Amino acid sequence: MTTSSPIPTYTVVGHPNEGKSSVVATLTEDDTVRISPIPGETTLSREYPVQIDGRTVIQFVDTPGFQYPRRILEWFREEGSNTSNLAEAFIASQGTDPDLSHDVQLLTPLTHGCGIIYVIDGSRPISSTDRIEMEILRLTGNPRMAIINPKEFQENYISQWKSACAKAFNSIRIFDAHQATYSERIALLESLKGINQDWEAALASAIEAFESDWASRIHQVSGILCELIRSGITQAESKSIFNLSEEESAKEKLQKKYENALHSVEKECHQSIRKLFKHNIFNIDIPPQSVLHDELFTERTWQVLGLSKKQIVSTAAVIGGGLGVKIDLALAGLSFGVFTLSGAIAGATTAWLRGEKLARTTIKKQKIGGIKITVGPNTNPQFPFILIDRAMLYFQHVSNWAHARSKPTSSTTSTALQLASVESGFTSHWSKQQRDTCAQYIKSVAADAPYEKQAETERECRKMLEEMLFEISKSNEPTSKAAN
Amino acid sequence: MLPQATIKSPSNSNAPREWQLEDLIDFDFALESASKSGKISDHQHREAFLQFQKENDRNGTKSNSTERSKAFRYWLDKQRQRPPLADALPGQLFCRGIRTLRTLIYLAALLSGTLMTAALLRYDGTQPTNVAGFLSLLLGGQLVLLAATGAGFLLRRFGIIRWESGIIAPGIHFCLNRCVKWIQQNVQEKSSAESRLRMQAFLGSVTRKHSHYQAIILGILSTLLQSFGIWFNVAAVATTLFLVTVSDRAFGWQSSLNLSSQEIHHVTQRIASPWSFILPSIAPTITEIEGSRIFLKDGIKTLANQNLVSWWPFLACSLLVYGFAPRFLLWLGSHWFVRNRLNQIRFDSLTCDRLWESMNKQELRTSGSALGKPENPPPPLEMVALQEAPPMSEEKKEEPYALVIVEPELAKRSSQNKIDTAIHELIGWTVSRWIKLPDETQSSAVFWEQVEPIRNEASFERIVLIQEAFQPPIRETIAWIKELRATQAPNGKMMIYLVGRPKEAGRRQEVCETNHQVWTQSVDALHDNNLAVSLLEIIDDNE
Repeated sequence: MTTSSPIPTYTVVGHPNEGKSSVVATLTEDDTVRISPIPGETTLSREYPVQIDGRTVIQFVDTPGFQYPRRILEWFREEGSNTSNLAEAFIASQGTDPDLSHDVQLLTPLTHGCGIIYVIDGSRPISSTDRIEMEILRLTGNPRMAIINPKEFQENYISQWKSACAKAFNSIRIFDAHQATYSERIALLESLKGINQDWEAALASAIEAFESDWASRIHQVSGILCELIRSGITQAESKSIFNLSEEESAKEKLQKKYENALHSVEKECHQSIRKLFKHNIFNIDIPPQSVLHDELFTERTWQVLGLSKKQIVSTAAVIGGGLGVKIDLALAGLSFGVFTLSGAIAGATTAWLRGEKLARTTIKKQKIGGIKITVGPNTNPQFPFILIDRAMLYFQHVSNWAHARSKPTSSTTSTALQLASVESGFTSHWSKQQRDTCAQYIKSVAADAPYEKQAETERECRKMLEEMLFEISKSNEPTSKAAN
Repeated sequence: MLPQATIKSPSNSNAPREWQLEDLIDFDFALESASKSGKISDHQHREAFLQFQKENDRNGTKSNSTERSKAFRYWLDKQRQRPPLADALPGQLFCRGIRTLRTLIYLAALLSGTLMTAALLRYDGTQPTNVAGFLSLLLGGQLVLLAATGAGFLLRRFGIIRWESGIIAPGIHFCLNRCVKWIQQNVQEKSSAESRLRMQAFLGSVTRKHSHYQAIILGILSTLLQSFGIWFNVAAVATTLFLVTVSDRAFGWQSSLNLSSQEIHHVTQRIASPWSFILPSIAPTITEIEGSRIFLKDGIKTLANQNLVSWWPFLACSLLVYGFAPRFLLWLGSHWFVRNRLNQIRFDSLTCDRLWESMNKQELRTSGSALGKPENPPPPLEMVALQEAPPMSEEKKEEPYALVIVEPELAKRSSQNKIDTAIHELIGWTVSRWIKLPDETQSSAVFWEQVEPIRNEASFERIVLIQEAFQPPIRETIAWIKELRATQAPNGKMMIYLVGRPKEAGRRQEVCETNHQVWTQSVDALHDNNLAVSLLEIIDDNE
């Protein structure tokens, strides 16, 4: 707990209702922290350790807001010359007064010399009470940083706050707890290094642990995406019927079953991503205009997401050519690659001519009588790219959704609304090489290539996806980047 | 054309009726609704007031039309015709509840009086009713309570104990405090800030109402208790008379002490003294007393029948005089007390002041119509409620000076004149002093030093605190408000005006609903009738 402690501990303090708990929730990625627009939600100090493999790397303490700042400052000023640990002396002298319960809770962690993160709402003007609180914190002598957390999107007072904080704090940062992305969180942790040299090494290792944890999550997401592609393009539903009059209704039911199965696969993928990013309690509110609200096979989804017509033709050629390769190999090269070429041409032509989104329904006569109806798999080359785009949009939203946010903000700059303006997916902005890498994986899965081949293409695909996911998660304006 | 012409007069009255508890509850409800919905300054209050005056003039009522009680009573009748009061009528509900309770009490009293008397008068030919047991069981408890009530009254009357102290009120307070403490310990820490604040505000308003209604509710409780006593005694007397008339009953007395008949006769004569002037024969004679003494070992066969039945007129009269009569007198006293208390209500709380101000404030409306209809020319600019405006009330003749307290930063940004005007417009107070709260370099003592010399000034009776709503009411602020209120006279008033956060040069945002609610609930929790929160729109000067 102390400055010499190997675990850096930061006590988040401030006036009531300035967003202390929101800062803690976002920094620790803990959506169980109680947050409310009504002041006084936090009544007891609570520790929030950040643990990697069970090892605490950094610790934050959420505290109630100041309730008697003037009384504390007056006491500090009177007794300041008699003691070095003012917070401890104050608690010893005044701690039994029940009126001061919140202030005692707030000051107790400071008696151990931990770092201070003073949270202020930068969208309002500074008051004398704020100056009193700053002076109290200055007099404690603990290493301290001010976080300007603009609760409303108004920046008129930020410079005023900055100049007032400069006198009392080692470091000042603007950090919107409700909008902060991964990069902003890491940047905040980096700047915490500056307030106390003793903790530099510990903080560096904490940041490293955060980064490696983030990389691990991205790696897992890439695996989830590959699994989604595999399940999506191999999904098929079939049924044998012996009464031919039931054919039409059986087809309809199968089509519905097929769509439901795909929906479940996609939902499962989204849930896994959400869980990875520790959003356990609150629903992630996808903005109402987002394409993610549309079903997988709607017109809008297929217009907005996936590859362009030109891109799909070249990608389909890769996938179609793959099937021809199989035949060429079976003929031990005697065909001189004719089948590979014709497969590629056929794939490209089909992709050009066939615009249908839904999986084909095939009917086969059975030897035992009756027919077997099969819906799927979906062979449209656009389909896996639509799935990827939807999953990546979801990832973008979840990875940038601050844990302090239990509901969407009204902010016009919120990521949520940025997402709402998405008019194209990610895959259409990929390079040809990236598309081909993905197409190779799709091809190997669709053609049921040998295990080694599938594993190799999956490895390549995951590597490529990880790069894209990193880019999305580290960007403050992911949409515009994706569009470039 | 005056706006009041559109309002229908209340159907029930030429002159407003006297205040009843039902009215008071409805009035408080309507006033609180108006205050919370920000309609305390609504023009409808002015319209009601003008209508009230017009009716008084028409009916030739000589009463002082500026008397709050009557004007508010008229206003209440108007409010009862429109929502939200028309939909709720909490006073009616409360009184219906009281009426049901009263009926249940009458039934319980009649039943218990009848059963108890019948049990005491049980006679099977071997064991007569013991007169002493009959009297002590039916009257003993009543007399003890009566003595306690009398003693309590005398002790209060001569200032030995305070009027507020007693058994019932402190008992209620004790139970309430225990409940609040339990809730605070067990629920508050686990509950959200929102529910905690709501609960504190609720408890605050309950306590505030309790103090407002305390005497009246205790009076009503007393009336109900006395009703029980009256009907219990009526039942006891009726049962005695009935059983004596239709069945064979016997009464006697017994004692292990060596008491003579003469001593018992002496006691009965004393007991019968209140009615002995009118009905001297309604007390047993020495012979009858002697003839009704029971020795259990001898049985009652040797005792004469006329002696054994001679006691019943005495017992019935005892019940009437010592049981029924005091209860009836106390019942009358309780009724008078409740009525008196209702008539004594001064309607001088801060919210009443605000309503009174909006009723008395002249309203100027201007309106125009489209041109181009020569056959029906538009009326000239309409000045409403100016020509027929009533004279200003007597209260307005006394200038209501006020003191404004403001944060130093807010004082720097805002225009003093504009704020003074806005306050006068809203509540009719004339700001005569401004005090800035100490900044971070000054101690809190600075404020009290500024206050000390003006504590006896008229302006200190009305304090306005201008507060930026985005600063939540921390405990220190609330404690300071309480301390400030304690330094004011008991009828001193304090208004907290919330202002929004500065937006751009000279402009301020509207106060957000959450902040308004937090401040209102925090102030409600202080259960102070003369402290209120409202919104103020101000324009900053220097930004």
